[in-house]
Amino acid sequence: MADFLFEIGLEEVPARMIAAAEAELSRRVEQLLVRERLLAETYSVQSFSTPRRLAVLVSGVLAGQADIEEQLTGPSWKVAFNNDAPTPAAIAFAKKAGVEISALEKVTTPKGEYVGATVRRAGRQTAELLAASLPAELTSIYWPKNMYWRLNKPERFVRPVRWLVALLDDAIVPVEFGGIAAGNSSRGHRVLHGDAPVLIARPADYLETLHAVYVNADVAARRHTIRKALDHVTRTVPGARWREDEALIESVVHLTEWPTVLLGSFEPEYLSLPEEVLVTVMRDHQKYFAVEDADGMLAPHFLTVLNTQVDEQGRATIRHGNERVLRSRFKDAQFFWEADQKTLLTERVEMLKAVTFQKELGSYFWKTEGNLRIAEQLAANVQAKGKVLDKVALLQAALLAKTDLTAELVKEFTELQGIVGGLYAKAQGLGDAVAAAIYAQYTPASIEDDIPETIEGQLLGIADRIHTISAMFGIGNAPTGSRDPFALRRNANAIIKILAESELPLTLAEVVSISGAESDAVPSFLAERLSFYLKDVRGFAYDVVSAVLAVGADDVRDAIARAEALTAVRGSEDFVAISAAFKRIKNILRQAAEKDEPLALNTAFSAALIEAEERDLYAASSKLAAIVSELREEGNYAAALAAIAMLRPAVDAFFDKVMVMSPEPDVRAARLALIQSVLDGFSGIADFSEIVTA
Amino acid sequence: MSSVQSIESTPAALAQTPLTFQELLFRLQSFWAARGCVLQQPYDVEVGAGTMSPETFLRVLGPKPYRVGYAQPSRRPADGRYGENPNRLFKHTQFQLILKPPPANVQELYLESLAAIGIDLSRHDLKFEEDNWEWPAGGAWGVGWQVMLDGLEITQFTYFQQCGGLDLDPITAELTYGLERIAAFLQDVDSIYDIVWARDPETGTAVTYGEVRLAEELQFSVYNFEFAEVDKLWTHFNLYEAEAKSLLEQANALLQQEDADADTKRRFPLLATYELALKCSHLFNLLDARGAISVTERVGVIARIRTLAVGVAKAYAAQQASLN
Repeated sequence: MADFLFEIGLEEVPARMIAAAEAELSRRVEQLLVRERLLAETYSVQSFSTPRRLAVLVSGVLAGQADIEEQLTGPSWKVAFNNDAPTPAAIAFAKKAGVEISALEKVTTPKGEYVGATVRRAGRQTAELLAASLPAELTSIYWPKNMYWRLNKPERFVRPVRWLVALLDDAIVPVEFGGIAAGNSSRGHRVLHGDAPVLIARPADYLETLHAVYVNADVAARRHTIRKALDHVTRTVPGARWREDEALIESVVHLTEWPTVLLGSFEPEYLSLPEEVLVTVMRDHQKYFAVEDADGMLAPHFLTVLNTQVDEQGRATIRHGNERVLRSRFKDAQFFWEADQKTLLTERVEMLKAVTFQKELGSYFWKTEGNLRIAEQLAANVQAKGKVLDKVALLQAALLAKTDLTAELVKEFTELQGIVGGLYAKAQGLGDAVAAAIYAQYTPASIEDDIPETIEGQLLGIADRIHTISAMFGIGNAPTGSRDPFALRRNANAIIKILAESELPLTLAEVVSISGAESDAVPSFLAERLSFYLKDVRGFAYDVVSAVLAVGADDVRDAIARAEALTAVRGSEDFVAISAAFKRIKNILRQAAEKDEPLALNTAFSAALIEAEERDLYAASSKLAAIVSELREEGNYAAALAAIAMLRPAVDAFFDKVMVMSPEPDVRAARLALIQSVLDGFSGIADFSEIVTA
Repeated sequence: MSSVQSIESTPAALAQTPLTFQELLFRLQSFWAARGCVLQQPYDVEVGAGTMSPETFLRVLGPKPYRVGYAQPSRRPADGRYGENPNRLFKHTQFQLILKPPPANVQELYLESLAAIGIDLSRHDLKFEEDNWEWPAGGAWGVGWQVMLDGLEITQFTYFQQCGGLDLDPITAELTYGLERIAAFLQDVDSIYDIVWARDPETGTAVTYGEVRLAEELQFSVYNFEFAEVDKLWTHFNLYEAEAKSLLEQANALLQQEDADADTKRRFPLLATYELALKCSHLFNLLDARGAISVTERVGVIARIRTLAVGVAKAYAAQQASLN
């Protein structure tokens, strides 16, 4: 058994793509070896990557495929042999199969007698097979964006391929890709080792050999190194801590082959800029980690992950360079901040006419008008239901919400839109409620984020997003499949989340109607996002979600309450029985409806109920329905469901003894009416027939 | 702003006399000239980026190999800051390098060019971070990196994939060095205006970037933001566009004519047509700086420029093909 190492060396691969590509390469190589029967029973696969390479190491690879016997079928026996004499068809088949005429056999199949031949096929050698198959696997790797680099454009890949290593133990596997023939030499760190080739003697030596030339190809080890170094370096500042940032860690892990960490500082005077601005500059623009002091306040330091290792003098140089860059970035931010203050947000409303929202729709001025109209109506509805809010502040926030798009600071740091508006509103004395609403208008940005804290912020967030959704649907820009270029799903998710986690007395129908959405698809789009929220965010079972949404997808918090109550009882024996009974009732009613069976009129059916079990069911359900209805009104779903469960004995007895589809038309109509009334009386919380009982 | 920056407080690695602005350019020019590049002079029509010079925009089209380097002053009216922002200019200088097709060791060559301007990589932190480039009005895009040195973006490195809406074959490697920021980095100054542009070898007297360019930054900011007359800019735009369109129509008619003789095709002034498109592009930028382009107009005007630029690129490719 052998080890197989495959490394593809590239010019720097985008950090965001590396993890997935490493996994895909490893999976493809493993699947190829499995498919070709080239792996021992106990084999193992490891994968590695750095910005300049993807690699996979498989242990337990066989030298070649086992020989296999194959049964080939040729022409029919009658065509192949004329009185035992082979015809040209038999001769041709024997030749094709590579056997003597005498070795041809008669094979009997359901379709008749045919000529057969047993052929022994020699297994192929692993090296030969890999050389033949690997290029196609490489070509198939998915890249979010790829490029041509060779003349006549033979293949596309993420970046130019510069070297390949393919070793089966110590033998080179002659793979060729991108005009490069595989060998046994890799490369070390660009600067710390230079261009000299690095010989990999055997696959098992891979990590160690690279380590000696300043490349740590083990991603997990690199991540660990970076975290340790961040801790270690931060400790030189008493009481300080680096701000945990998972996404940033991943990014720097995939930007480095030999990471070390450096602490830098900036002038404390910049701490007078808002923390949001400072952190954005450091994280998004410089990939620096922010540092905080013992009280959690931002400290005038930063951490940068280097892709090199240098002496103290070198560190001083690099620190100095990074500090210069950061200082000039902060200076820019400060410059923009001060320049922006010369034009008040209120003066910027007019400037929104020059900022496009969507070319078919209009400018952000147009959008602002829409947001205002919706916010005003939402506020009126909420106030009519007894909620207290500062409507003047809400409307001022809606008017000014987009004005920061004209600010230099936002043009420079687009990820700060909204936040900058909020900060400016505060600096310009527009009041806390206004500032807070503007600040939080884009939260929650993702489903994990918190919702805005203030009621004005929540309403502004809903108004802005439902306006966008209804306008976009109106011009045919609804999301399709995996395509959602305007992030409308994210917008809708945020609306659902705000309604779910706030105390706003608003239904989805109300929100849609206020938005003036003309497309019929908007309500079902929101219902679909509610379903996503219940399942994927709240973790309710899919059948519970279906059952709950089947009877109402309009009031978000009510749907959650019903789903919670249903989840609590769905496993109980009584409830399983009730669910099964409702399923049965629905089936019977459906079949009856298909046959146009009449139902007895409303209350008239009681006289036609003759059996004790059906009278009992009628009595029990009438009594319980009244109780359930009352509990449901109060929102006491747990108690309502408990009451419904009490129906079980009567239902069980009914189905045991009574045949609904009686041959007697009047009786049949009465029984159908009875079960219809049971269904109607108890389906207000959820459609129990959706519950999976098996 | 001090006119001569003291270098006493800087780390040892930078303490050898750093290159002046013009020496930096000389070094880059001679480095690439020694590697077979034609050294061109800056293009003498206003452009927003080195890419827009015909030395890039047109030369990358078609099969003919080409290597060229030039320092291109690039004007972006809306970026003007009246000379008040130490890091931002209305007009900055890009050293633009085109390698068509790119050699296999293009990255290594690039790193050698850094050594040539006095950057000892063993003392610095270098990263190639994904940064894909696009110029929609020119139908041009490519993939590549921003090259980060100690946290500073010093170069945009792009493998051109498409230009003028045409697929490129061979593709081209484009290296764009930001000369001001590299000079400020080498000289360790915090303001662009403090960069030493030239130093008298006998007296040691320095001339700074500010002395050379500050008045220009101020006055052009004033013109671009305050004085440029919107009506006239539109008039100029329309005139240049009309002329370019008329030329393009004639070009297309001629180039599609199979029996037209090669010499007539060769002498058709597509290069002049392209200049007219560039003038439109600059006028658009000026109008934009004046805040004179409304929402509905904006997309439309960019499309008008794109029609011209892409039209010239296609016609130019056809003209070149007709010569072979």
